[in-house]
Amino acid sequence: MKSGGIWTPVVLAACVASVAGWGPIRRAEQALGPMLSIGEALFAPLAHAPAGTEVVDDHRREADLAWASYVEAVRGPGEVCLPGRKVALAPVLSVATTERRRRMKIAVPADGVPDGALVTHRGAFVGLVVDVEDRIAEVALIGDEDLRPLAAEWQTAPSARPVHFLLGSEKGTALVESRSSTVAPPAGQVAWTRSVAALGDDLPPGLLLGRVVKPDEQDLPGGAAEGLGATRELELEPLIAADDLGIVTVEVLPSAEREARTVSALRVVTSGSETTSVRLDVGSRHGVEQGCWVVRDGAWLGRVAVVGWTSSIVEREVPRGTLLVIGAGGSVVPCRTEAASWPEGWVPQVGDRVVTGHGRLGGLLMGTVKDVTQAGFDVEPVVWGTDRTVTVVER
Amino acid sequence: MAFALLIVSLLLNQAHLVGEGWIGDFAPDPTVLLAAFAGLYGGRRSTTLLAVALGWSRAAVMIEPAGLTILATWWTVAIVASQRRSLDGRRWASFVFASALAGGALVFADWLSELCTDHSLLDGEQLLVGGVLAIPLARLIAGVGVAVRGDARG
Repeated sequence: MKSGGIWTPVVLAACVASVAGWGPIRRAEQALGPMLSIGEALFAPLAHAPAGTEVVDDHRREADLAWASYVEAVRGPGEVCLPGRKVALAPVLSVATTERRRRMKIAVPADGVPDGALVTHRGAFVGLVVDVEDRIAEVALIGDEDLRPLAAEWQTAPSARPVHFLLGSEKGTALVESRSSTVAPPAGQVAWTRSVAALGDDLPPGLLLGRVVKPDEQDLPGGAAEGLGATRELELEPLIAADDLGIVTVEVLPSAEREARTVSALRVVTSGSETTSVRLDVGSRHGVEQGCWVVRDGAWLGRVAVVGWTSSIVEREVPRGTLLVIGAGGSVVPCRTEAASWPEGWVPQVGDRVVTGHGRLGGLLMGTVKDVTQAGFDVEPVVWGTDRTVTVVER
Repeated sequence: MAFALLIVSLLLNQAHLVGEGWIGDFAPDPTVLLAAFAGLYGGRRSTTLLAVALGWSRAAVMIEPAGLTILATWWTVAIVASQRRSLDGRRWASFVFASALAGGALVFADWLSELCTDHSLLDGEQLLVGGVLAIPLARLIAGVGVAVRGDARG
């Protein structure tokens, strides 16, 4: 390779692609990983072990209990599924929204999820499975144009006559269509699924869907709201923000069991930084995939962000989604790090434990609350410690 | 030469990382000396290859996007290489001057990187300590450079 030749523009283009974070280039960059083994053998014994708190058994038990309670809550008051099926927990891998699509990808058992399987969270309807490929199911959320029309209803009071309607969608917005009454619902009226089994639709009744709202609702002088007229189209606002969900439940066949793959790995001590990114000595050759979790002894250590053939990079940044914050008194609050998701009147305290969990491994301690600001809180991750051995586990 | 430089760079950067755990900001960053060496003693037509070797190895150790580090190193090696004709590689003072030049080029590249991508590549103190090491090590490195290249004059 000589400068000025064809290689100069090639290298320049590769550099730009790398800076832009293009996946194939970032993966190819990890090809030098195995060459770090010489320096690792020489210098790793001299590495400085950082001070900090290792995970102790008390925290493990606490994290397990908190996670088990949260899982019960996610499953909802009763297991909602069709006869002959069962409910399984499924971790949320990603949520993508476009103008017409609102989709979520979840990890599911191989050959265990039928098309149209119901996905719920805490007794609320999340969406329906529209595609399953390689143990990943794609879920059409409320508002997705591919979500089939759902029979639904609202009832303003226990004694009132329910108003039936069909939940449709257009351009990513869930619409209230063909309602049985022209009477306007009160502001913020909640709607749920309705049983139409007689018509061949097996969707379970009573699943919360969202709030009925009027688009561009305007207050009139004197504080009154403009009435919801029969000619006006109503919209439905989902009760659950899909972006916030870490796990959901999905209907599966009775035989379906999801075995999360695990790989043992060693941390390369002479690469990266304890607090931001670290390198593992395993890659795609060993079955590691992007998004896998790195755990050890009941602690969550990070998430695999870049996977090379024989080496991978673990980001220690706390992922988005719901976390469990355990207070000094043992109270458990599910929330995100952003303050907008915190319950009213509650503020996390510095030192509160932050916990997540895994379907197979149970509760996992992530770290402790470090800084609390008006925008949210930061997490001080669990220290990696002197033991280099970790387990990479599929979500 | 590029492959040897890649191995040396990997080892020095790994040693730097371990040293950082013990002495923090006083751990010398080897990039200044390596870039000065590559610029002064590397072949005139192999600047790109040497920059890739240096940048990629550093990025692999520090876990950074390699592209950014390679661009910064490329610029630094090219700046030093542009002065090769006016420097006598056999003199230790030339290597000290090349290191100072490399240090300045790296600081500028880091500033530019922070401006464009909000990502800093270097620690100023570590870069300075690494650059100061050029003074005691200049004779040794110049000797190695001359041995590697044969005729080290321009």
